Amino acid sequence: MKTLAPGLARLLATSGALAAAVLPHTGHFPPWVSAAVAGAIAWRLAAEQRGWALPPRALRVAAVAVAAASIFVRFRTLNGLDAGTALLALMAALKLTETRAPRDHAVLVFIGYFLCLATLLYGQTFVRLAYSLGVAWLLTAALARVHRPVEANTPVRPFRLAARTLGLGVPLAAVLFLFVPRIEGRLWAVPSHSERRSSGIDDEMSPGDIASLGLSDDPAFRVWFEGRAPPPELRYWRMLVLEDFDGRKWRRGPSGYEAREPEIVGRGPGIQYRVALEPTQRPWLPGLDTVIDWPREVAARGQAAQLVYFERSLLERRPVTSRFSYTLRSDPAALLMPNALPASTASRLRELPDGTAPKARALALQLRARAPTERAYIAAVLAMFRDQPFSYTLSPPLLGTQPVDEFLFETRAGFCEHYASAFTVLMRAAGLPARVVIGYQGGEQNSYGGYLLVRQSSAHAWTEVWLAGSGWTRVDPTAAVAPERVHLGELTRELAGDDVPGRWYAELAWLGNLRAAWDAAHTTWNQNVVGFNSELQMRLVSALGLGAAGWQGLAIALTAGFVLAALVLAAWLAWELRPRRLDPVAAEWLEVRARLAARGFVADPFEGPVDFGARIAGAAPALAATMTELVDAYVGARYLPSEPQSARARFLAAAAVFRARLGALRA
Amino acid sequence: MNPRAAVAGRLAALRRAAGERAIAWSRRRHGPDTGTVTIARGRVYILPTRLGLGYAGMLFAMLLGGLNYGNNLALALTFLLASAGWVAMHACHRNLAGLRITPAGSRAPYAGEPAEFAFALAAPFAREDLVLRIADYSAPALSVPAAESANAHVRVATLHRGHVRLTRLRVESSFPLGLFNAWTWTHPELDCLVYPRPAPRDREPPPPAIEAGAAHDGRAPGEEDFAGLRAFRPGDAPRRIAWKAWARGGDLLVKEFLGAARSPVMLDLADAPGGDLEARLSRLARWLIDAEERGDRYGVRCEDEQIAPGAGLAHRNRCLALLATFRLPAAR
Repeated sequence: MKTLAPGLARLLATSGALAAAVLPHTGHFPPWVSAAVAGAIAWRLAAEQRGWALPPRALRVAAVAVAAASIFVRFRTLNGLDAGTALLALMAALKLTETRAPRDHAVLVFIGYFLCLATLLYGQTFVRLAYSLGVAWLLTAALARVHRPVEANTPVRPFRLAARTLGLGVPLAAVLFLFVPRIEGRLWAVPSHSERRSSGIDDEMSPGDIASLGLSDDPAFRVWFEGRAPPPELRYWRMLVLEDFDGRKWRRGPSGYEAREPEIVGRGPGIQYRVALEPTQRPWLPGLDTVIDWPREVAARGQAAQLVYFERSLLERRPVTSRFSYTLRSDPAALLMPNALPASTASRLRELPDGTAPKARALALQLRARAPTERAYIAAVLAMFRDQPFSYTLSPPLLGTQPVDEFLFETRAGFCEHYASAFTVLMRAAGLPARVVIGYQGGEQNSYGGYLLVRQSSAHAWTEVWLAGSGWTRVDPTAAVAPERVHLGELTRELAGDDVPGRWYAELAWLGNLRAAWDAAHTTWNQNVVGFNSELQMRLVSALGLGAAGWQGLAIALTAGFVLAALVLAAWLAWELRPRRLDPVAAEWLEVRARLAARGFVADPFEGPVDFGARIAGAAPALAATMTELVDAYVGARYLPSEPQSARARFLAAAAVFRARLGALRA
Repeated sequence: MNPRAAVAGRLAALRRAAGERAIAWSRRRHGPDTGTVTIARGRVYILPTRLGLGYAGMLFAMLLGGLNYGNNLALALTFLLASAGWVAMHACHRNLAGLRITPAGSRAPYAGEPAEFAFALAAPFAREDLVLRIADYSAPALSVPAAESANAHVRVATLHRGHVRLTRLRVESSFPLGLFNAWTWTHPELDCLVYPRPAPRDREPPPPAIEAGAAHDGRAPGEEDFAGLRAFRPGDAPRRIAWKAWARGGDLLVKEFLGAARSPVMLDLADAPGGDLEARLSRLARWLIDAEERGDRYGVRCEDEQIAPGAGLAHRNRCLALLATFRLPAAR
């Protein structure tokens, strides 16, 4: 194999590792940043091979200014994660064009480490961590290659050195990870980077405008029940309430009213459970209908999150930007505001905009007149949905200027939002206070993790009707049309055609199992590694018997753990590098060589025993005969396969003679 | 001198002084080393390099970032890199501890050429990236394979004839990542002779034949009678090797001349022209070298010190050694 010139090998190692560090960021760079990095690497390698001159200093300074200005124009800041990583990558590209000395390489490697860190700031998945560790290994190898003498580097040696150094550091790193205290809050404000809007729940609903509902398979939240999970038909996860209707679109009601906590009448002890919500960028929190008790404060990310019941739904004061966990108690049989609805609210929730859905209003009055009670009226409307040819589809026809009438009397095909919207209109038209509720319905049990996983595809809309005596009562018109949607808790192929996410998993049991196992592993990872916080840290410290001491316990654990790990490391290194007992022949040969070296006869690295012996025999005739015999015996004992025992004996005897001779010469 | 340079100069002087004190302390602590020195762990010193300090600064920034974002994986990466630095520190220290250093002689140079000190390094397990330094001079980095020995040659510049004394040798290594520099001082008592620089060959006044015995016919070199070939022995002058015969594929042979039959010459300092002692010694050195190359038998006399005629490289070196130390100014 042709060996590379050392300069080129170093550049290849450094720029290769750097490219690997930049790669995960190309998605959030403007394309020209990625192009600049790739171009700089290609140009620098070509320059090294062809011996081109590197650019002069003035040009480089100008390029730095232009790069910083471009980043600023593009991102309007140099702070922030997006702008910061783009700037780092550009600086690396520019540094590369002047890279010659080990110091330049070191700067590039350090930039690479920072880019690895940024990769993890963008997302804390296991895959990202594994990738970043791999890149850190490449970078460390590049560092080793540059800071070692050229001759010492075989192609693989720096990689092995880096792997060894990082590998031996793992126990120590684990101690630091477990016991270095996590701070509460932040040291400085972090500009929130615009994360992708998570799919799922929105605070507007306009069913007539959706031609095809794309459903995401992403997890929305996970639930750990204390005791048994409620049956599928009770798994309604309430999130937010839409009260304002303009004939086409449902919106949240007027802000600020009903700030007081609502009257909730529980019927039993309820079900306690913990919810771990994926980031939504929204404040609303899902809770099993009906939530009867919630913590007013939850520790999250080092800050106290305040849970309030506000505007008819449970929410946190700030949008949920990272995984958020809280514990609730719900009672499916509880009554929500059973005794009284403020008159102004009641009248507002009976209203429909003028000119909206005339046919629906007529139908409502007609049905209401025939029904003896409000409950009978609700049943009649549901029966209409069930008996007449209404169908469930995720690809409904678009609706025109009177979406409710067109849906009820013409298209008769839609998904939950269509039914919830039309049903609520029919209720209001008959004088019943009614509103649309948005949330999730269903969830799949994960037997590996012992939790219920609710996916974005389980997003659902239903109606709440206020009835005197029982308060807000949940009515799900979709269940009348497609009962399987509710009882199975998920969409089926028959209902939704080919668009159902995850139907392959449903059809292939083993694939479904695999997916459940993966999700359980993912959840464990998120809770124990990503979500490791000061609370878990304290729990660990108290499990070690240092709990009472609090912060001091943590300090003790950190110090003791570090000392222990460092001692183990030192002991391991000492054991690994222990002087090994040499083969007697090798030991004797080394001894002879040491004695010869003391007299100025030193074997050159390229000199084998035979040449060395011949040289000494030539230079010191007094030693010639014994030296020749010694070398002969050594070669016989070391390299010739025959009769090892006698060959060894012969060598050791020859060595004794030679040493005596050498000693005599000295005297 | 501008003030900044003055401050920098002062700092450098302070650092040098501190370094000298440290070395003196080390010498008092470990005493002079004769023969083979085995580097005990207690005499290996270690400090972070500039790169290591930069690495620490980078880790601190990463730690702040990880804590601020409350990002556990970023912290994990930071801790792993920090631990790798810790491991590198151990590896760097271990790389020197237990090393055996044996002085392996020196090669006497002519003044102006570098003196070369050889050391044999051996260790029971492999060592890497070792650099030997004498003052500002260093040998190229070398590695010692397990249960082997390797030779390092440190070259030290010389200006004058006389002695180069070596009382301190620094062995250092930045293995494996360059984050730390571990070093040790050994305190050998070594001495290397420096021969006078031979005068240039031009305008060569022929050495007068003193005690010529039989007539010195004054024939120039090259006109000697070719006597035959014999096998090469170490120490034979390259000029006398029969390169043509060797190039034809034969053994390495040496041409012998009848010069040996000529009567011995005595080269005398008193005959060397020039007023300055050093210049005359240089001239004498030149005569010695040329005489040896010609294959003459020759002796040397400097006032009342003299060496009887002889031949061969060992003889020549004895003669040169006499010149090297003759009336050496005490303070040099």
